[in-house]
Amino acid sequence: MRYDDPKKRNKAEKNKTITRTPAQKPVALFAHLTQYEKENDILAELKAQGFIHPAVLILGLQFSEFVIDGGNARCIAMLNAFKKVISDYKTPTGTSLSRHLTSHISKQVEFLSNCRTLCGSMKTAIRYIKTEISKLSIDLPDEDAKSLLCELIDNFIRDRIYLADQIIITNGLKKIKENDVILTYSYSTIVSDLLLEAHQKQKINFSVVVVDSKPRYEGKMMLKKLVDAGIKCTYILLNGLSFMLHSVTKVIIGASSLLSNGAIMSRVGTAVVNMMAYDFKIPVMVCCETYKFSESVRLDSFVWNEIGDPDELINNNIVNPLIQSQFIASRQPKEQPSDEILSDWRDIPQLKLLNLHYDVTPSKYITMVITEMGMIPSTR
Amino acid sequence: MVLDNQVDLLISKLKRRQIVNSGQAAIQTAYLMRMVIAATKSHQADKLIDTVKEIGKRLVSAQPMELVVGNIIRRVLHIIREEYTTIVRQEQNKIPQFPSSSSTMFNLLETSDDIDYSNTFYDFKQLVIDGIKDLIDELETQEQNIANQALEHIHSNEIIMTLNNSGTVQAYLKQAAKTRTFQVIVADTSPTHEGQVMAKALASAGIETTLIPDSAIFAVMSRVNKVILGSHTVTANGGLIACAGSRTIATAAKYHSTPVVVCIGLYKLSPQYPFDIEEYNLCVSPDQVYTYDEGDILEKVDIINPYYEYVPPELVSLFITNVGPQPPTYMYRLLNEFYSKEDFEI
Amino acid sequence: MDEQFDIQKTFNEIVEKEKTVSLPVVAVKVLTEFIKQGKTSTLQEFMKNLQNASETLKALNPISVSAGCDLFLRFITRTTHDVTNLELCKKHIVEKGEQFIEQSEIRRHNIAELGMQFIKDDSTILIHSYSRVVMLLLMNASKAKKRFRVFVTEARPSTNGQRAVDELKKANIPATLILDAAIGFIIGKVDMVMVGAEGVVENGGIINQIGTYQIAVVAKAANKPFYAVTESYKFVRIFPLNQYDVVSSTLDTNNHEPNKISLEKQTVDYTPPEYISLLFTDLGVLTPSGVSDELIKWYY
Repeated sequence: MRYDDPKKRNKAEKNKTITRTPAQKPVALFAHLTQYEKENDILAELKAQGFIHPAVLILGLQFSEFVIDGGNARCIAMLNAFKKVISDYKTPTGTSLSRHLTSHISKQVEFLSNCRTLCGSMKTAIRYIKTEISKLSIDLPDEDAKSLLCELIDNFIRDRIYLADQIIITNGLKKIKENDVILTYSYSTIVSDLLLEAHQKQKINFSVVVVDSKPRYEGKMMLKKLVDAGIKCTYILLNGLSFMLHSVTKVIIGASSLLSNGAIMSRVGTAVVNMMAYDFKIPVMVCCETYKFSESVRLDSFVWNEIGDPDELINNNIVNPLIQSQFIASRQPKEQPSDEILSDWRDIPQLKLLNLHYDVTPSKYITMVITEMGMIPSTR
Repeated sequence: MVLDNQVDLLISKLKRRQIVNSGQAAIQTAYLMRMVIAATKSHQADKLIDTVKEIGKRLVSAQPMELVVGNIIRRVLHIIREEYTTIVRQEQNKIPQFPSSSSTMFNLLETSDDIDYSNTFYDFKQLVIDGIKDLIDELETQEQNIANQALEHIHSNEIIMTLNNSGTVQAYLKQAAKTRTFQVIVADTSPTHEGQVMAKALASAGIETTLIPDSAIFAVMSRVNKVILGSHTVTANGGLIACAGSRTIATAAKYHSTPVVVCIGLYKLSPQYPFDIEEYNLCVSPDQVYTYDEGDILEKVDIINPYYEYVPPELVSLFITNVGPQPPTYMYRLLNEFYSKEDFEI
Repeated sequence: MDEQFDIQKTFNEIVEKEKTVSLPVVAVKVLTEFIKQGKTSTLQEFMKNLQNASETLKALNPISVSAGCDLFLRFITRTTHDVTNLELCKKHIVEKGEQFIEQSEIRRHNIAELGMQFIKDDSTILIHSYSRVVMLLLMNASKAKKRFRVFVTEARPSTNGQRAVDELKKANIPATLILDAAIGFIIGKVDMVMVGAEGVVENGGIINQIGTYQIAVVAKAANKPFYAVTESYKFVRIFPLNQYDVVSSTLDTNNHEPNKISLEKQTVDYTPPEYISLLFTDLGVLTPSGVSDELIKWYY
């Protein structure tokens, strides 16, 4: 997205399926990225439009509220929604399914991407569906084509995600040894599954350091999962990194996508952890399914990124909102950050807040990538 | 006695961490020392040294992490010794010997004559009190002195990164902003969120400021021209004992070849070496990291919230002190200049 | 010139007799003897003889002995600067020289006390070969009830590594002999490296038993602190540009064809200052740049 080019921006504004009010004072260095915008009564807008499937509609809301988060979870949720879209799809007269369905899917995708920027894994899946649609024979009856597509999607989820994860776990287990101290950052399904498997099935005796950071404290979900399973855990924020790294033996993290220059795009903060581990000469392992491999090359975290809600940064409440709603029902819902230090930040013209979602770890800091194809060096 | 009360008061303030600002701790120690000298009846230098040392020991042990207290005691002792030797030399009509420092290769063969501190001189105490007055002046103006050097190191349109809320750094940046336009990126510094205070202060002073969470330090570093930090203490080898997170920001700067500048008052320079790194990692209550109402998980998890951490000298490019800029490898020179070797251990 | 006094013979005798004394001290000892026995009447002649004697000594071992000779000569020059009575002056010099020799043992103890503070409980230390002052430091640390273990490089073809291990074990310090080729393998388990030095050069680098440089490079690559433990009388005014700029006692410096250099005989190498974290000396703990400061103060 070239958001700094007025022509492109106008075009993007026009194509938008929903209108929203800008909420962010743009940070100059990131002016080229889609700026975070607050929803402006999305539902009312959408009723008028009609072509967005209800399943996608719900999904879009869930994405924008971060109810569904994480590369795999978002991709699976999207594919399941698309299955519904495809089953409910009726080819309009005068066109064929293989021609029209692609554009129909594209509209759903556009809506989703307006709700929240798509991540690498979703792009791969969308490309896969579109290719499969275009490969459909024009003679195939619509109903057969639809069930074939749904089956293909199921296979994709099974082979590229679930089975891949199983093999990654099998591969990763070889690298977890007795008395290891494993450091991980934030939340990743594959990493938590790997650690749980090592503890429960393999009975390996190791401990985990969970590193977390604001604003969403997703590491607390990781912590809860591991502690509930009986794994010995230490919990720190990024400020405790150098304190803990002295005793850490391995770092295992998840990734959003692996770029073709060997760099890793992942939750913001991963690069900080990887760099410090590299500085302490601790091996860094990245768990990444091959469907997250990307053709693009990025040298830094600027060229492509996602900008989040700046208000998240001024909220100094340290409780993970998801955990809060799940486990501590007694607490009042999301506190309105009115008594925070920066609650009046909008009134100070010179003050800007930057809430990035991803960062790029150069391949230099990564020792190994564990994929379902085996363990590979990040340089490939 | 009034004096005893004053000593006890400062000790209890230090113990309860009511003085967390090391600048305040330094000034209050210096004032107390002036009172101590004035109240001591003896005019003998060795008596003064003993008294200062005795009270100094109590103050230092009240809050061992507040190294500036010990530093000020050392400065006062150095003043006493300097003033005394000057008088002695004048009395003996001796030209000041080069060098007077006791730490050189000279002692290998030439034993420097030990100074007898037991003589009494008229006016000597007044000279010491004047010396401490100068020290207090220095402490009160050091921030401005450092800030005045800002334009030598900040150029226009620069992007500067900092973290935490160091008064020295804040004054430094604000001074530069009077004549230069530049941007500052402030890391939030969880869990204290002091970075937010800093960001607000800088932005209110008209500097274009961007607040980022600590997690974005690496992502943004590639566009940063300079990292400017404050520090709690500087060790004798030029290392820092700074707020937790400083090492991360300095390491990120190292991998981007970005210079790291540390603004620091001379009074923070301590003759200690980082013998035991963990000794300096003061861990504070984890409730800033994990609240108690987040469930029973707390009992099963180690939650660690370090307050300070050690930053090795190779990560620092330059120190800006109130007596001018110094590279980290030469910090020991300042040590020899402002402290007496015999006082390194109080 | 005093014909009766054989410098080389005296030097060898002292080295033979007192194994714990380091070479710069021996050099000062020889020179003190030389002054005692010398019969010169003019200052000029005295200085000239002394110069010659020190040149002869330096030829025996260009680094450690040079350091001792230069130090003592510099002291003599300073003392004789405005002297009227040569005999009295000589007496003074001899006195100071003997005092220096006496104190060399105390100085080493001071270093050991100072460096000990850097040893934490449960730490692992890698040392190279056998260094008197490093051994003393470790012994003192052990006496102070610090718990640590030591890896010692073999330092082939010498048996110095084995000697160090034997002595450490005798003192109940867990010590392991490792192959010189195993440094890279072991470094991950090590918390710090400690080496002695034959000489500390102008820029704060050290010249030490061969193998030191490679340990320093490995330590740097692994981000481990590398400490040099040394007496300040080993500071020497040499400024090597690289390995081949170091005057070595065994390297035939006239022969510049590399294949003719007998590498088996090479006994020292040069470790540049950027690899050295700190130097523990009797002047205190110094950064490498502190060394040149001290040298400049003394020689100007």
